[in-house]
Amino acid sequence: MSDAIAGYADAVLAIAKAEGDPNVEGQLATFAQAVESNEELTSTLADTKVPVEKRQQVIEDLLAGKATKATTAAVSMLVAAGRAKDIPAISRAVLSSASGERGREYAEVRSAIPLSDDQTQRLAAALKKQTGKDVDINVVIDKSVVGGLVTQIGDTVIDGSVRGRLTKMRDAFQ
Amino acid sequence: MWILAAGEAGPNGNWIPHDVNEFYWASLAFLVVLAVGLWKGVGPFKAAMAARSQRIEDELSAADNAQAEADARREAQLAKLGDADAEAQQIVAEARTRAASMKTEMIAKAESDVAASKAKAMEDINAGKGQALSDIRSEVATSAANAAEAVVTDNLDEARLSSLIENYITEVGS
Repeated sequence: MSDAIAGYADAVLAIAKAEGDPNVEGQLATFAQAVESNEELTSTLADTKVPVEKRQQVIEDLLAGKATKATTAAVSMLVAAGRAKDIPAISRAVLSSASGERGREYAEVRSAIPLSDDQTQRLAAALKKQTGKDVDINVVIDKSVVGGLVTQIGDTVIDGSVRGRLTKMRDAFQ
Repeated sequence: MWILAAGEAGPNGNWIPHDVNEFYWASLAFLVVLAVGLWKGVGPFKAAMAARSQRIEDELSAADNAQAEADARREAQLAKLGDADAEAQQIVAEARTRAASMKTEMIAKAESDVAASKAKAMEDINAGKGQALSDIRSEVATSAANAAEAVVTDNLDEARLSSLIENYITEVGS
């Protein structure tokens, strides 16, 4: 994680604390998921030819009724700072920092399909067995995973994806 | 004179047309002049002739000397020419030796270059062959992996995807 990403993550957390809004990290993660899966949205928000005011208006329109004022303000701040493309990374940094502040581990789980709440809880329990700590899970929908899951906790990656197996098979063929 | 006088007589009764005394005086004058001439002229004439002879002898001697000198020079030139000829022959011989040596060296170098070129060509051929085999192997592997991925992807319905997630959770928790 670069210093810039960590810095913006701290700024977002500061906004959340100032507003006393515990939803910011979750809503930012959802918005980051949208940004990551929608190149057109990313391009629009990152396009410096489009005035900042218009881009911020797009954010307000998108998040209207779906996110709190603090989340909207945080995202608007990131876009105005020209960090639209970094929103997914900043969101992960926010989640990780927030988990750390709560004394928990942060795990990013990539999956081709959404996990049910039950699956998420059981996965968190399984990861707790591995780490010895309570784990906050952020599920990122990533079709490139094809099937299965890829979990990253800190520097550790547990790859149980079909993509990973196909890659191993491809390497074996080479 | 008597003989002359005995010939046909002139108007004065003698064969000499003028006064006989005039003849005598003229003859006497002539003899005087002759005597004076002989007295005064023979010595210088002889001296002049002797000087001329000496000069001619000197000139002949000088010519002989010059001839001898020229002959000596000619001999020297001939000797030099002989030396030059010998030197030229030596140079030619050395040139021939050098040319023969160079020829040998050039042939050896040409043979070495040909051998090196041949070796390089063989290396290139082998490398090309290896690269071609590697490319083919890579293409086959890629095709096989793509085919396997297509088969896997086509057979991954919701139930299978969910099953893969369940298996992952079980493995992580175990």
